[in-house]
Amino acid sequence: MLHVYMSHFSLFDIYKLSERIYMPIVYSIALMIITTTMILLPILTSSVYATDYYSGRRWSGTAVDLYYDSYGLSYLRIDGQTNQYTKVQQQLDIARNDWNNQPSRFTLNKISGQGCINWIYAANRGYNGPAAETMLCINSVSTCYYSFDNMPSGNIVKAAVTFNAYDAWSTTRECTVWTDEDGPWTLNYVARHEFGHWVAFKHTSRVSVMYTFYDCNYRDSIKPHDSDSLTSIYG
Amino acid sequence: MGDLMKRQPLLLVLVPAVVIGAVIMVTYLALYATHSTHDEVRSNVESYTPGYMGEGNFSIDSMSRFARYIVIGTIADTTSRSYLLFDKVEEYHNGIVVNIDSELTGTYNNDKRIYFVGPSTNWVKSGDKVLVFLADKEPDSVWGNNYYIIGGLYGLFKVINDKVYGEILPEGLPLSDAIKIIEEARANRIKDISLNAKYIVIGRISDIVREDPYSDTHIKVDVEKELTGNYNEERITLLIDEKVLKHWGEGRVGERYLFFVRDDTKRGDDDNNSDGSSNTNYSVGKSGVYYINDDGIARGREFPEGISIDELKAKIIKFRRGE
Repeated sequence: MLHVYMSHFSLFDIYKLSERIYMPIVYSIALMIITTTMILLPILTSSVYATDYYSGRRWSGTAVDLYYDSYGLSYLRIDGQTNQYTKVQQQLDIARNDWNNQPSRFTLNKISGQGCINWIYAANRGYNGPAAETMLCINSVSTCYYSFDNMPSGNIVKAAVTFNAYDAWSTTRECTVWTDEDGPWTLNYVARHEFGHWVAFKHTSRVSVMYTFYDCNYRDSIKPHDSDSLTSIYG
Repeated sequence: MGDLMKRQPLLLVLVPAVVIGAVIMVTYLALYATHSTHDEVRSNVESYTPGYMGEGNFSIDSMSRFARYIVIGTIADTTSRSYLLFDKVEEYHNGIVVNIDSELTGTYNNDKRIYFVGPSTNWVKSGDKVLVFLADKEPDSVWGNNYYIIGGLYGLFKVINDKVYGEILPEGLPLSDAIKIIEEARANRIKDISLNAKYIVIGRISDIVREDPYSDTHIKVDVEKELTGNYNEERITLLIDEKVLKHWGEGRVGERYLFFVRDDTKRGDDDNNSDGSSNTNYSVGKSGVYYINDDGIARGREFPEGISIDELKAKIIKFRRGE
């Protein structure tokens, strides 16, 4: 009997029966997935785009004030001379404006007040020290680090860049840092890279201003990957 | 059956849409999960860096040549310190004590512990095995009177399962291979600069001229010996950052130095000075200055511990000959 019953209950009948019960649900789920995908696709892809070198920390807003310390920066030896604050300032502005000119809403605003806690300065970081370093403070102005590993998660509340006054700096395009670390380094190239750390980008092997090693072809402008990553974080 | 046929186009759209949507979601979740925590990276040490926020072109080779000490050991203690620079900028550093297993320059003769400082980081902790390239003490620097890590964090590596990981070695390198690179680089100290230099001059400073307080110092040197054989004048004028000169010597007239003159020197506007000597101001970078003391010991970037000038000359000549 069972065999007879099944033979009369064809696949088409099963389909007809199931479509009345399930198809509205299937349609609804499918439409939800399509709609969600269409809405989220640009967001998801841009997030994935940034994740390979974005550390996950961010400023709470989209505008960050910073202060150039004319005292320390006057010690930088640029084009063979110290006491060249105007020249140094121009180089920093080139790098800062390059970031500001990207489509992202994020901006770095230079202000003159010493009350600003985000400093750009120069100091003697040693004969064999780094050419420059960025420091980020997370959640509190006294929890500050120079590396991302084991850095607490949360908001960036303070940042600083320091350039090594022991190094030789230049306003012209320097591609070869003669005999390992001898300089001179193009100041706006290095500043561009350090500002990338300010938005919590790590070093990368990509074609990016955040490339791990100094290379004039990587440091001379914000690369599309950098710009897209910034937009994905700050809009 | 006719109904099913009628609905096929709709199904053809919906089924792939569901599949594509699911694939996108799964892919996103997979990617999100893989980048999220550093703990995961640490447990799987396929790729591991401090995530250092600095600029430098340091390599294992260059750090091996510049290092005062190269230490392999275990971190015994870490401390944090901060101080106000220029009385207004707060700096944050870590102090690190390492129990030394081995010291690869062979010049560290103190006890089996060494203290050094570096930029503040949570990357290392007590018990970690490390390979660290250390620079000599520079009391005038932000590091104070302490040994410091070369290149900020570029010179600090963790040793995990006999592989070395650091900012410039994210994929790791077997410790044995790192040691081979270090030994080879140490054996070839001053090779690159000897080959790249335009001239290599030994002589005494005869005059120091500052065009203004802020420009590089013009150092006039009476040439005692020139090792490339390409410079025939009795005197040479060098453009040098005075603080580099004073890092090794005192920067005074009468002091004896060996200088590696850079080959990117630009000539002055006039061909000759009024006394007929060349007006070219040759540039010397911070790797090119070796102060020679009264005992004939030369100290400079690649020989911070000192080397006899005769031995240094012999090395330079050997490298120039391609031996």
